Amino acid sequence: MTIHQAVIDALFWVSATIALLAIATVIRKSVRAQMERRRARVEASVRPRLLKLLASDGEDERDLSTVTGREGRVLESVTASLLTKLRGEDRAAVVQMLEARGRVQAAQRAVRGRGTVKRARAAEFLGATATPAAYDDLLQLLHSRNAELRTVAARSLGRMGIADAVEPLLDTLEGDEPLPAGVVTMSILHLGPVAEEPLRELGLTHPSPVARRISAELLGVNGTFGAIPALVALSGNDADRDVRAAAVGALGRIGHPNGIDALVACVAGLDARIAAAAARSLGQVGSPQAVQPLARAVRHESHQVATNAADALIRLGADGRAALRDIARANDSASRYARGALSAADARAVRSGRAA
Amino acid sequence: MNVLKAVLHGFDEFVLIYFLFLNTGYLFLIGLAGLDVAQTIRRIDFAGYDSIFANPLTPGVTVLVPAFNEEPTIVETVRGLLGLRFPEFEVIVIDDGSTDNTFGRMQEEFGLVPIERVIPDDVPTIAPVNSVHAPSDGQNLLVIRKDNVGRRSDPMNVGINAASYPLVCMIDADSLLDESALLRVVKPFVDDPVRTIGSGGVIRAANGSEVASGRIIEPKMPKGWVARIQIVEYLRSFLLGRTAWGRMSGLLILSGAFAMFRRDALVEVGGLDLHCLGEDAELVARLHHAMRKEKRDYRFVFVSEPVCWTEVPDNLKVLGRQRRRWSRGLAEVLWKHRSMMGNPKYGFIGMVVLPYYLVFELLGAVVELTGVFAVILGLIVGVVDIRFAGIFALAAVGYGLLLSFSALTVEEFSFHRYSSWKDLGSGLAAACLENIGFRQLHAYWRVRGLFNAITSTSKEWEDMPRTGYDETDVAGNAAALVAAGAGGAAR
Repeated sequence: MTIHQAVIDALFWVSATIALLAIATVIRKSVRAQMERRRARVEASVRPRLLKLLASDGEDERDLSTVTGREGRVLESVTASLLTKLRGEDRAAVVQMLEARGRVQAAQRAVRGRGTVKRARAAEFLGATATPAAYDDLLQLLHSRNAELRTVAARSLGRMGIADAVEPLLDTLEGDEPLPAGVVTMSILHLGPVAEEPLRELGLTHPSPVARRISAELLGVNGTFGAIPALVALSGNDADRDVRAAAVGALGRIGHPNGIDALVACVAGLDARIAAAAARSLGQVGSPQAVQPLARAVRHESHQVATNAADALIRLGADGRAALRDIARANDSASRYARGALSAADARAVRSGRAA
Repeated sequence: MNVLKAVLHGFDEFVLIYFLFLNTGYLFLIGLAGLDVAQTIRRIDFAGYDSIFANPLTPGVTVLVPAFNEEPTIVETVRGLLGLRFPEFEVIVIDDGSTDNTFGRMQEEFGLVPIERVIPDDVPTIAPVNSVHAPSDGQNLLVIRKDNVGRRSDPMNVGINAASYPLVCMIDADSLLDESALLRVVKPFVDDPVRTIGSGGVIRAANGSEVASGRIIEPKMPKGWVARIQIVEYLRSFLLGRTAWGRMSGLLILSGAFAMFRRDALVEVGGLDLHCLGEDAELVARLHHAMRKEKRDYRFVFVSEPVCWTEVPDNLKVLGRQRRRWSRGLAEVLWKHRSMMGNPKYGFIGMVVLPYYLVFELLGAVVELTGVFAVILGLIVGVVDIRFAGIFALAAVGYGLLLSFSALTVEEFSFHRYSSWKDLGSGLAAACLENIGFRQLHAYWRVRGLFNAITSTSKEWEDMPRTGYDETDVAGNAAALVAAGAGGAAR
């Protein structure tokens, strides 16, 4: 073959590939447009029937369970997207319909099957339907070697509402490949009030500092009064700084006066990060008892402590503002924080005409 | 004379091989990115973005928007940012001494009133803060006014200092984010909070698209060819190129138009470099440098789906200036971090990424331009024949066309943001024009940028003139906006 021929051949193949790419792009676009139109048509016919099911006492369930073919696939897809948005009877009706169609059972089979994406989708679906029969499968998936599957399993277990899931979920925070704390936090948060006891009993004493930290945070988010003594103890004694900071934050979120002494001790402590968290928490508790400790904290050398303390004083109302005005009169660094908090509060009050 | 001819012939052959390597490298990147994008799309259903949104303990984000003479777009941008879907965030606009009515527009729109605020000096800045303003309706917005010192890094560092949250998102003042963009770029930090120090989202050109309430509701191709060509270019380089580098843990650039970092990491390295033109790339390079030096486990993530839309230059003069600045910035970054280059201590970044950027991104323009002249010269003096010129054109232009078409195909098979047939036609035509004419002009601008870096001539800090977005009827588009959000979730 001559070079001339080689050039012509190469030119041909490059041109042909470009043409093929262009044709593939055009075909793809055309097919997609057609599919979207068809799906929109089917959706338009399915949605009213689904709404009818939600509005009725379940009589139409049988009707929908027999829908097959393309219509059936669109129905399942639309229903699955609704699952996380529905509550109570509506949700139960939809799940029942999906069970009647065999969709839930198929997902249970798929979660035990092969293929990461297929298994993950099935696990996500089972979590959305909160099928109790899938609990063991999801628990097993939680120990999968695939991080993606473990994450989806954790999220789905959280939607089951079963308190027993707390311990295995917290355990995933340890080991060579721990699950992200954010995923476990959200899963346990989804479990709701049933998680409070295991979090208090097992979470706050868990050997993993990450598990103790998120347990403290979650008890704070849930506003668990019963956890205050344990959180007070953690805030002062835990060996891990993150856990102490989380306990301090949780005491603020719970907002009960029983936590004030511990918070006052923390705001006066040497650790600036803990002191900053404690200042914010004292503002959340909102007790006049915190005015003086916070006023002292405005003079802290840490920017974060001073800022949080000044903002917290604003939240304490008239007494806090009075303390800030006293500090603002001086001409030192603390006065800048005090003036900053006062001016920001005044700015927020302008519209409502509450400027102090 | 014969020696000269031999040299010329040798150089021509070198350029040919160089082009084959360069374009094959690009093709590899596009292929890898296509794979990554396909995997990402298959996983969207169980990615768990709703969990991040619903989690009260998701880390808060400070969005930093440096603004210099952004009067036409600033209100739209801020309005869009305040409506982002994210549990806890604040927006800090740093008015960098604008001489137009940037601040006035914001004051009027958001009811700004002056407040006092203590801003720590965690990272160095040049110009002092003149005033701080907050909206009277308690929205999570803060506007900081300072003098202009002619560089983007200074207002950005002021913003880093003022940030209240552990994550800092940097965007441009003309950028419009998709509603769930923050959720997407935060996910790597939630999934891997210890190792992730930075993430970036893809940048697309907003020119010509329909905008309502600071959000793109219908992406469209712009009218002018300069902007259209950049759409294809952004697709190939910013979407697919960076996706591939991200997959290989080799991200060197997270565009300053949309990037998120852990604030503590920024403070640790001293924020953005106040004297470098390519301050965004320099920041990432410096973080690599610091982390690798201390043998710390870290990662940068590029997220291909969240989209930041930005106004691209619509005329050659402004575009040329921008590209000269980019080229010069890259040269400065590579020079500043030359100790990492080819150094096994810096792993993949030192051994592959930096040499790649030097050989193919920085010096590529020089080779491309001189190569074109050398082949023409070779033809004139008879050193190369028409067949060689044909092969050369094939390797440079033909292969380039193939790459651009591949990028468009990947886009259509994955995100397919442009819905109309007319836009597809424009995209295909722009892919052709990009390789015939634009690419060579681009090489010329890049060579000039490199020359400026070498000769240390004056830095070009000029701002880019904004034309603003065509705001469509907001009320009329409310439904479309909702639909766009729903569509985004499905994509």
